[in-house]
Amino acid sequence: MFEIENTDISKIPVPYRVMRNINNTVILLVRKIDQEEVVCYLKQKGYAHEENGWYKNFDFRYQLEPPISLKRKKITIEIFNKIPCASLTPRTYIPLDDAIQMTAWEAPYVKNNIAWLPLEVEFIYILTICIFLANLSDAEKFFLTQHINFCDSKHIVALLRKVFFNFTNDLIHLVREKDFSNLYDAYISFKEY
Amino acid sequence: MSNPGVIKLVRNKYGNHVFWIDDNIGESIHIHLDQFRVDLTVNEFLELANDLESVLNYLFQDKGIDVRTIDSRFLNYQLEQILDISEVAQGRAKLSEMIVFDDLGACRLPDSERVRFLENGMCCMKYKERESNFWSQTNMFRMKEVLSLIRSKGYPFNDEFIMIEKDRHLILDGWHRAACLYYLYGDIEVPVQFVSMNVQSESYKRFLPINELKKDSNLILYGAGQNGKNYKNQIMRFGYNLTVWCDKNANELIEIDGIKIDQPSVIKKRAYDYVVVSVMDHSIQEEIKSELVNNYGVELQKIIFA
Repeated sequence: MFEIENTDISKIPVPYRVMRNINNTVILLVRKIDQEEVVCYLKQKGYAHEENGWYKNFDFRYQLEPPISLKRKKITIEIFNKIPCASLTPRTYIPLDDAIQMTAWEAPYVKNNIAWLPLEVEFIYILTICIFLANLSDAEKFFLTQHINFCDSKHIVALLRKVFFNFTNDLIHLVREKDFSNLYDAYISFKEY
Repeated sequence: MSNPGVIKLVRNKYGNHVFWIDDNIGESIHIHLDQFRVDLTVNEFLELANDLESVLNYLFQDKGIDVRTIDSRFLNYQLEQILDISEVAQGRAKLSEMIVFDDLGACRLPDSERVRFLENGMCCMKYKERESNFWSQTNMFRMKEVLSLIRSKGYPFNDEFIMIEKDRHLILDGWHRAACLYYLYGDIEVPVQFVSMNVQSESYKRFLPINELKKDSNLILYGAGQNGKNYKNQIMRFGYNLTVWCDKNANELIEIDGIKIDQPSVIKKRAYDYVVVSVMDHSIQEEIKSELVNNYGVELQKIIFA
């Protein structure tokens, strides 16, 4: 994970939220009306469009648009206008529920001048990555462990139910047990619905 | 907003109608038929599946078929053929005499894609992915699974036999098992379920009647319609000699797949062992029989009908 503070993200001239920083890729959330301005700004800083990104072979559904991908040297910035979630339908992404999208634009978590998703939204987002996409980094596992108390929040549990439905209680139990490696298996073998 | 945990269990087209089932994890099972949808819990869905299995068993009880012993993927893809079954009986058959109808058409088991796949060290470059993601299995995965099962448990396992059409030795269910057995043990004789099919059914007539054709025969193929093309492919694959391909509409068809289509009158001038009639309609078959015998001097025993 490179030092995101050394990129030009902190000076992006519009509201943004960092969703993820992993493997030299920063995933940004930017409102649709602001995307053009962000692209323009990053191009001025030497970033160029990446034409053949991974998303070319994927379907983006329910009004989720594929990311705008820009690259400078080894750093890639992917810009989404909704928080994406990989689906169990192969090669498909959908947006997270509208309630989660709206919460993403509440006060950001700011660290070293970088605006991240609000912590509770980041918590939900990382859980969706864990189940639907890939293994978590150690930093992400640590983040979940640090914020286990979010599972006590009715508001966060309500948002989790928008994604995981009846699995939510089992999910919370496993998260409290810090059993992240079994989340995916528990999810796909879940039958109580 | 849509559930990200959606697994498509099955999708099929029936005429103009589209049918599919989605498992929306944590939410419900959705059964769709065009714009109509039924939501079920997992337990309700499993009960429905059991009830439907009971219905199928009831429908097939007179034929001696227990649908629970038939591969459920086969049930999905070959239901039309199963409905044409008239009788089931135990027996034995040699693997080399079994016919497979794969993506390239019909052929003997040793020449099939699946056997070549095994003999080539399971190189999957030319072997298509499984179309259904019911079990999220590729063909390679399925083949490995079956090979492992036969090595560890033998054949048959769980009273699940390879099902073969009785007259034409076409494998109806058990392609993977047959291929694995041939790969492991060569051309042995194995216990099977012989299935007699309604010979008037269209699905039965799609298969070249090779049990009536001697090896290396010289064939005249009568009919260049859909089943004629199907027969032409099978004739090539089984290694017969196609001496003439004829059709009454030869002047309009001219040639198909690089093969000239002749008028049936050419039959009088050519040497052949059999005239294979690809036309399925029984009443038209009778007309053709009369034409072949009376106009072109074909002996009745040399006419093979679909």
